[in-house]
Amino acid sequence: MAGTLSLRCLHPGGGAFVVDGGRPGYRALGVTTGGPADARARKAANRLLGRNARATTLEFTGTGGRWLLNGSGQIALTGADLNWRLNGRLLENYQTLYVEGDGLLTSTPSSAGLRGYLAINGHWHLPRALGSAEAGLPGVPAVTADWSAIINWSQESTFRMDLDTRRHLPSEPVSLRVSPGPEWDWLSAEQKERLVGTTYRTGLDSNRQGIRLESAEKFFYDLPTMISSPVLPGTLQLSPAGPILLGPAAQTIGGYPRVLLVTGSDDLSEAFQVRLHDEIRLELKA
Amino acid sequence: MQRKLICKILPPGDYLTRKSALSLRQPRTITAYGPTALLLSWEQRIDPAISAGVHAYATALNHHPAVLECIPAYASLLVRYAAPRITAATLKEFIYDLRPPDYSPEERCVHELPVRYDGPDLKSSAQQLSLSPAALIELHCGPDYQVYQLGFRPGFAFLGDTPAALNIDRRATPRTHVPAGSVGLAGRQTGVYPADSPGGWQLIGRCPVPLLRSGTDPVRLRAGDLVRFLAVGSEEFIHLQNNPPPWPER
Repeated sequence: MAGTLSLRCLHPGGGAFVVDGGRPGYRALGVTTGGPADARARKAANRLLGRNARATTLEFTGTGGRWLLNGSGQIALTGADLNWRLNGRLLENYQTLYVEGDGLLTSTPSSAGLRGYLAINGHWHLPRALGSAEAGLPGVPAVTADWSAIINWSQESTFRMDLDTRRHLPSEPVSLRVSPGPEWDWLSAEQKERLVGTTYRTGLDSNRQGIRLESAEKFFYDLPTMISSPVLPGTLQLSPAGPILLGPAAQTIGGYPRVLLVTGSDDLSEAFQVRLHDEIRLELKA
Repeated sequence: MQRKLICKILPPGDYLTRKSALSLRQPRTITAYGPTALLLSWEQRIDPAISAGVHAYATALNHHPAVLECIPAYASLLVRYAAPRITAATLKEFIYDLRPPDYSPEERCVHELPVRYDGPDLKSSAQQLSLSPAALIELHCGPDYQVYQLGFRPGFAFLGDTPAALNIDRRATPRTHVPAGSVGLAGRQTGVYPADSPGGWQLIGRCPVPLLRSGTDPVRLRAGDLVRFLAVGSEEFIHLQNNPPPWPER
C-alpha cells in the first residue's frame, strides 16, 4: 500500500516552523544548528509513526493555526495541548491518527504547554539547503499562508498511543538545572546568588532564538565588555535587559557573558514549553 | 565599464605568512563549555596575529577524528566533540600538546566586493567622523580586510580592522529592517548584510554581489579570507547585480 497526503497552510497560528535534524556542523559559517525547541515531544511524534527521531515535522507556537489536509495518510500530534480539531472533531494527542479525503485541521490557543508538533508518516517533499528543510537559507521558504508540502508514504505504520502525555508539558513551576558557564566567575558571590535565586517570568519577545527571563528586580552588573565569542543553545547569556536562555535558532556568536548553561536536553525541552509570562526557576547543580 | 572582479585562491604562504611571520599565538585557557565542547581563549583582543592563531588551531583540530566542529571567533575557538569517543580531559591534553604549523593556509581566498556608496548613514557617519563622504569612501576602500569570524546571521562576515579614522559607534536604535547587501560600519569593524535582517550598524553603501546562495555551498565568505572593497557607480552596480562574479571554488 502507498499513498500521498498534501498539507497546505491557511494560517500558521502563533508561528509554524519546519523542523528536522537541522544543520549541525555549519556554525563556523554563521549557520545556526536549528532543530526542534522541544526535542522530546518531537521525538515522540515521530516515534508514534515509526519514523526516525529527527524526521521532518512541523513545530507550532502557542496556537496551531489552520491547515488543509488532502489525500490519505497517518499523522500524530504531540507537545502542547493545542486543541486540534479535524473538520470540527476533537483530535487526541499522542496517538496515531488516520486521515482520509479532505480535512480542515484547526487549533485554538494552547491550554497547556507552548509548542506542539505534527508528524506525518512518509517522506516530505520540501526544498532543502545544507541537508535541512528548515528556513534560514536561500531557497528554503518560511512557513506562511500558502506554504505547502506533499508527503509520500509507502508503508503504513501500526497504531500506537502514548499514555504518559503529561511528560511533555511543563511541571509547575519549571525548575531548570544549570551549571556554570565560561563567564560565571565574572560574578561576585552575591551576584551569583541573586541570579540563581530569582524567580523569572518568560518575556513576550521570547522565541526559538531565546527565552527572555524577566524579573521585577533588574540586574545592575558592572561587568567588563566582552569580545564576541561562540555560543551554543542552552547558554544563559546575561544581557543588560536580563538573562536570555538561547534556543535552537540562536545566533552562533554572542557578546554577552555566558554565565550559566542548561546542559540537560530534557530541561531545555521543558523550558521551551513554558508559556509567556509563566514562571521559570534555576537550580544550580553542585 | 566591465570590470573583472578578483575572486581567487592564493597559493600557500603567499599572503599573511609574509606579513605576520610571528610565532603562533597559543590559547591562554582551555575550559569546558558544557559536556560536549571546549572553549579555547586567547588574549582578549582583536588582532590579526591572534586571529591567525585561532584559525591555525581550528584547521589542525578539524582533522581530529573525535572533533565534530570548530567555531572560530575573534579571540576564541569553540571545539565541539563526540563525547563518548573522547573525554574532555583527553582532548584538552591533546590540545595542550598540539603545535599547529604557522598559519599558512592552503587556501586563502581574496574577494573584491564592489560597493555603491549611497547608504542612508553615509552623510551622518562622515559628519560624525569629521570627514567628507569622499574621504570616508577612500578610507573604507583602502585596506585588505581580514574575515575574523562569521556569525550573527548565516554568512555574515565580521571584517576588520577599519582605519582608526572610521571608528564609529553602532546606531543608538537598531533598524528593524536592513536590506540584503547593505554595507555597514561598527567600531573598527565593517561587514555586508547577506540577507534582509534587523541590524544596528551604520549603513554606508550597498554591495551588488550576493553573499548567500542556495545549494550545498551557500556562503561566499569564510573566516580567514581577505576582502577588499571597490567603489562603483550606479550603472556598474546594476551591471554587477545582473552579472555577479563567479562563486569561489574551494
